Amino acid sequence: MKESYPMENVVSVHNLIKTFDKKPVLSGITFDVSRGEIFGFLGPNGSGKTTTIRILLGLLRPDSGSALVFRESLETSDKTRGRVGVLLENNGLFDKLTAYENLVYYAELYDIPDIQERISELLEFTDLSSRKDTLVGTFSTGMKRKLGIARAILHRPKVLFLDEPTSSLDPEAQKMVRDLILNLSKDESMTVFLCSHNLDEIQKMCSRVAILHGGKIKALDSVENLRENRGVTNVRITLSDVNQIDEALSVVSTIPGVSDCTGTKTGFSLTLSGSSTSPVISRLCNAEIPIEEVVKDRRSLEDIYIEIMREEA
Amino acid sequence: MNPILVVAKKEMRLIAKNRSLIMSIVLFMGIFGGITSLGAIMSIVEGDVESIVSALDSLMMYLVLMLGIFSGYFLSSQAFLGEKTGGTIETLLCSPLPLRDIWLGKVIGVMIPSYAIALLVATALVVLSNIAADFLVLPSIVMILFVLFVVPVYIACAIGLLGFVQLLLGMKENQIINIVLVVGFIGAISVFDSLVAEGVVVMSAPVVGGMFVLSILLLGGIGYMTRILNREKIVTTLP
Repeated sequence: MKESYPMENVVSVHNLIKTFDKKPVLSGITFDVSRGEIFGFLGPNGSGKTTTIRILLGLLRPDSGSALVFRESLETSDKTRGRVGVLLENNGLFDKLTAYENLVYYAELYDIPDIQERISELLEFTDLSSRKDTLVGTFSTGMKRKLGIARAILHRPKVLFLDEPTSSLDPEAQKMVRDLILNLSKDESMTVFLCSHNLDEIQKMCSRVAILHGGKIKALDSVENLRENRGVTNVRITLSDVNQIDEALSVVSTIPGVSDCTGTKTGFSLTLSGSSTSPVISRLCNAEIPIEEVVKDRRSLEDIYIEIMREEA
Repeated sequence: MNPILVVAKKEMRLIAKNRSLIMSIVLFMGIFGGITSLGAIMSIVEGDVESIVSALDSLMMYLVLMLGIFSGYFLSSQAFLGEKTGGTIETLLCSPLPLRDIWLGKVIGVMIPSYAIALLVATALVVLSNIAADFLVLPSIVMILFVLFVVPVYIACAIGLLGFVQLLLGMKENQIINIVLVVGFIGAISVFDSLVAEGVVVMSAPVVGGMFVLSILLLGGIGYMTRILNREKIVTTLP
């Protein structure tokens, strides 16, 4: 059943600063995550992602600024922690307990009313029903990850913090987890805070992303806006007459914002700063060079991420 | 179920499943307990009733407390330090349980099997004494009260203090501090045992009552100390 909240922002981070041994790890980051949103948190190793998550979860204290979940600090609010699901790098599972015993332990900790039904449902969903009485220590890394996900959503949290949820999963299981996250967000308005190095996964699932580098947020927007606004578009143009390729190249190369003009077998390709191809098309039309096809290769999140990392380097 | 008891139950289940740990404890009990008690039990054959009961009391006071605390030392490593090295503590810290409840649940979960071991040691001493003697040998009422009320609280104190230190400090510091604490406990027990042996302290109901009150105060003090624990201190000392 959907629960209604008086506030729209489930996660609020404001001017968060944290240092370790006088070294700044977070330098005043600010962002909000709305209810039902799948928020991607990206950054290279050492960029401050884990520190941000740990502060949000109440495991670390900020030097200054605030990191609130449902307007509460998770360090002090036991009740709010009960509404949060967590899957960190460690799955939180005990090797010497069976899959079932692990889930029962967490179900009892969170005081879940329908323990048996919920565990059966999640074991079936993660395809681990037949292994429920097997010691977790004998599980493969992927199986442990799947059980870790089941554990994280066992108590039907309202917000879910996931750190590399699909790492070490096979492609089928990755898709299962992706579908699960999308369903939880869509059907139960669950807010998902997703840390991942898998940029394709982030692009497929997240409505907004923050890209962190050196303890600062370098980009914070929807994936679509980042792809639209940040930078360049690669364009491939096929001409009706391949004999006009050289002429076309000389025409378009003078257009401001156009670069990397290269001839191909059927036409040419170029890079646009921005996304509008109309100056190129109109200039070719004015020069009476017939166009067969124009294809815009939209840049992926990975391209944008790498570009930001290069800028920072 | 109360979440403190959920944590305690999980600790007991993990202890029951850790065969190598149980074997280590049994081996230690056998060697240490055997060496310490063998001579004393053999002397029972030649003594009168009073001296036999006195010998059994002395043996029980020393061994039951000592081995109970040693069991707590072995088992607490898994419950506190083990959860830090295994990384599961982070997930537990994200649960709705207050930090002190987590500590208390673990103390209870380790204390119960440790005390069960102490009771087994006490039973074994009584059985061996009866095998050695020609007549029924039972410990004094005072010693029975000591085993029933004082021993479990001192075991809980030892586990509570060890657990607190293991949560608070990093791995290297723990290796040193844990040994210091255990040696301290052994030293304290040995000193008390020699005071009783020399007749400076006579084990009587008021003495046992005083020890009980002291143990409760000690446990309360350790519980109060856990106020300085916080999640950041635990997370920043993870290996």
